[in-house]
Amino acid sequence: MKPRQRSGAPQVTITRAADHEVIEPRNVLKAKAAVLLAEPRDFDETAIRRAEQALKALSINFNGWMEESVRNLSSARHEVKANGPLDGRASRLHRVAHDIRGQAATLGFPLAARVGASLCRILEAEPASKMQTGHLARLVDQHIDAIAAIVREGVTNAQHRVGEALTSELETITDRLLSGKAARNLH
Amino acid sequence: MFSVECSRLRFLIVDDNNHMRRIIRALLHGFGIREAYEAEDGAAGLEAFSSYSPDIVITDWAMPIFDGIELTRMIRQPETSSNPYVPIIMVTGHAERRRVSEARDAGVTEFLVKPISAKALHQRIVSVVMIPRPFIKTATYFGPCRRRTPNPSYTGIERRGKGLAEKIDPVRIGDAMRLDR
Repeated sequence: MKPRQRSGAPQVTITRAADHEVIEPRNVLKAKAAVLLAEPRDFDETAIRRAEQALKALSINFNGWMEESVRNLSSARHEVKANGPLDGRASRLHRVAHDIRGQAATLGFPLAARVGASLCRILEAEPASKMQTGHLARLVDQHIDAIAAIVREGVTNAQHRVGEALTSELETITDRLLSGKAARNLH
Repeated sequence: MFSVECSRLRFLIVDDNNHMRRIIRALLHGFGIREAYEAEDGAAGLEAFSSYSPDIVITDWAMPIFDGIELTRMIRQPETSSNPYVPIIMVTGHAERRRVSEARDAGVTEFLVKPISAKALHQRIVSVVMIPRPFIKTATYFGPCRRRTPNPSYTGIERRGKGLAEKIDPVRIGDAMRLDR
């Protein structure tokens, strides 16, 4: 069989041992991009500062993006409640919650990120079949309502008194739920 | 002392979340990068990887159908990938230790837990350019060396000790693969 095009691959040096090989590709990226500088730290700090400014310029969109994420989360939750967790509905709910966990702090909503993380822990630990009704379903709803409230009220301060209390309470309930589950699994 | 002129590098960003792609692109532009391609899932990412031959891949983990781990495994196929050595930076909301191990075992070069910051991303880029790790090929693994630091409490056999190895001259990857047959 004709090998596929490998023009992007660098030259390599291979050291063989009995059960493995150590392969050292030629460092083409260093050859391409490394620059010798008297003050590399200044150079790096300037690049980082420029990137932070670019992120700041983008931040005028962040509230709108978070509102969009909340709408997606509510819609994914509604789908699971109305039609059950199958056909990718539960995984979509988890994916949206996971996105909020990952991006909410960057978008300026650190408490929403914490609630998103707590929600993800529940969704990852408990079977999707339990998410339609019952106490787990209510706990999922409470997380989603909390994220919606944090975004609606513009709670961007991680120390916001009510927001922090609400977030901590949800995290505590999740901890208790999951540690109880872990204990049950041991018996 | 060296640093990295990012404007000379070509990037591929793979993330199903449009907002996160825009954030990463904004940071890369801030670093001076002019060439950054985007893909919104692993399958499109693999296609873009073949088409654009990026110098560095930045990928999310959780994506529908074909995720960042699967993308990494496909790229790290020495027999079929156009560049199985490309640095892969995984940017993810997964922070658990087992997730980091799973990513490492798939062949991810650097792991970056969200929330993403300019400084953390810049550090990862400089690291993969300036201090790349060798690649290891075993019966079950192909990817960057997973030993980042010496383990003083390790008591097993040192399998990478002197005397075991046979050094082979620089060869192109295609020739290296033919030597295996």
